[in-house]
Amino acid sequence: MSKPKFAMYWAASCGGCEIAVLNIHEKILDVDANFDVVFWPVAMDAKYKDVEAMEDGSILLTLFNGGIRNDENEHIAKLLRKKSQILVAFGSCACEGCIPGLANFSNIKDVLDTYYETISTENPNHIRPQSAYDMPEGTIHIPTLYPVLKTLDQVVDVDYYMPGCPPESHQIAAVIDLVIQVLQGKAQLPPKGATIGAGNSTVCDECQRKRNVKTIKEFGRIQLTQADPELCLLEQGIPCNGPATRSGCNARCPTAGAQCIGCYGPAEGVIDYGARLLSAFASVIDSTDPVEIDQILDGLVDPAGQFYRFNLAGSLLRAARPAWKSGD
Amino acid sequence: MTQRITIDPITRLEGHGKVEIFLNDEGEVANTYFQIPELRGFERFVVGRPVEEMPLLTNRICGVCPEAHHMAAAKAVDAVYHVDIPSTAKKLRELLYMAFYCTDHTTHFYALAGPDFVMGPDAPVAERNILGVIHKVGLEIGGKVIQMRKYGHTVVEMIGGRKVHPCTSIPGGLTKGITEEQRKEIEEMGRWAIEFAQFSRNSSTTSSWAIRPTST
Repeated sequence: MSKPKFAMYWAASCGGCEIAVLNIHEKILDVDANFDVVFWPVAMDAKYKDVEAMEDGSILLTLFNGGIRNDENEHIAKLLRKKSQILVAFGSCACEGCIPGLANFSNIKDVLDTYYETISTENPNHIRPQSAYDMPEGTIHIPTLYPVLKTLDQVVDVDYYMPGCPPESHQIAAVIDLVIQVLQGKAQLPPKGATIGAGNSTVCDECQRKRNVKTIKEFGRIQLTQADPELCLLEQGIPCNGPATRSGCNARCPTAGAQCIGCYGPAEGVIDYGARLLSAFASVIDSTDPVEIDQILDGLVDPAGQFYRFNLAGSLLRAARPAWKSGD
Repeated sequence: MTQRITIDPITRLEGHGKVEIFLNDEGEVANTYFQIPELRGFERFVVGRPVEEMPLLTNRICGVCPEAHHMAAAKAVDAVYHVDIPSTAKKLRELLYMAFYCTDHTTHFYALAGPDFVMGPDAPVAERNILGVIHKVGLEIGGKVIQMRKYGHTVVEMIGGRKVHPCTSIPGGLTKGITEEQRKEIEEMGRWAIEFAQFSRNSSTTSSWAIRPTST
């Protein structure tokens, strides 16, 4: 009997999710034993036309990472949705936009102008990418950029969400084990729409640093703070996103001395990450004087990025106003 | 009639790309175009972000080589503050970088480009990949490849805080150091890695799965 089929694809992504899967190390042999890998551009040479030729629903499990930045990303998302039984939004980009989603603060014209007209760019003819271009031998095509980056579930129906930038390898290994058990009839898949490979709490719950009563008189910056390695970073005025961020990563960054930047996305039950984090930060401010509160908040040098660093595209806001303006 | 061959997508590397090859009436290549069908906007969206986030944001340019972007950004933000970082920080960053490129070379050699040579360019797609290579060279050698990548990422995590997208470089140095125990572990892994590199180099020319030039 042939093995069930597996695919992994990257849209507007960095490849970190692919490496995180490879970092399950020997467990890749379990994947090999239980699946036929039919499409995975980082690891094998299958082409888009090979996917088009597959029967609908013939791929059991597809892990889709990367955001939807252009029409090709959307086309492949829809193609893989058709060909797959289970489609997982894998990693922060597919789940909520992740770092590429930060482009949604700008108009796409400004993004392209920055690319093609910098002080170190040679572009005397002010060339911009064209979706179709006539060369002497024929017309060549590249995808059309969308004005805003979208999450996977903003273009197709998604079965499961696996957060993280990238998802931690021990979590990936646990999910693979679960899927293999399901294949063997020993376990059930979680309900559709569930978040998998992550915890139900916040990063703070996994963090080993000591927490006292958190009140601060100012927000600082990590390079200007002589941080105590045992104490909560937020308590020392370093803006750490732990309170709003989903657990599952073992609080890796605060353990290493760096503030949590929120890559595991909103904690369970959080509808808008930025709003939740803003509340958490506001609640640690040691002041009741409105003028002083304003001064303390001024210590957050980039509120937009601080509160929507990973999930702007997937938030209620989705993008800032300039991104929606149709440009020239 | 001009014939057109499209390679879409190119595979076994990080990033998106496609190649269009146009043949003339004689069947020779008239022209070839290499196209990049992706653009995310880093140059634009890092503007307005705090300087200490540059090593963290630029990591996400590439998840296969985030250490490279992390390092470049770390040096850039040190320069913003006009600081010469402590000697220990320099050594730790250099050690992180070396562990990274040894692992990256292993990934490239065995998992990405290697399969085309070890399995041969005419091997079917289903075999011409890392899993096919492990089937061919056997679990003992396959296990060594996996071990090398595991060691490399262990060192990256010890110094960089995470296996993918390191978080410990800040303007002025690193957020943490390593213990003497970790230093000893890293040295042991390093010595094993040297043997693995010598084995890879020797096997690639002399063993039964040696990379051979194609016949035509």
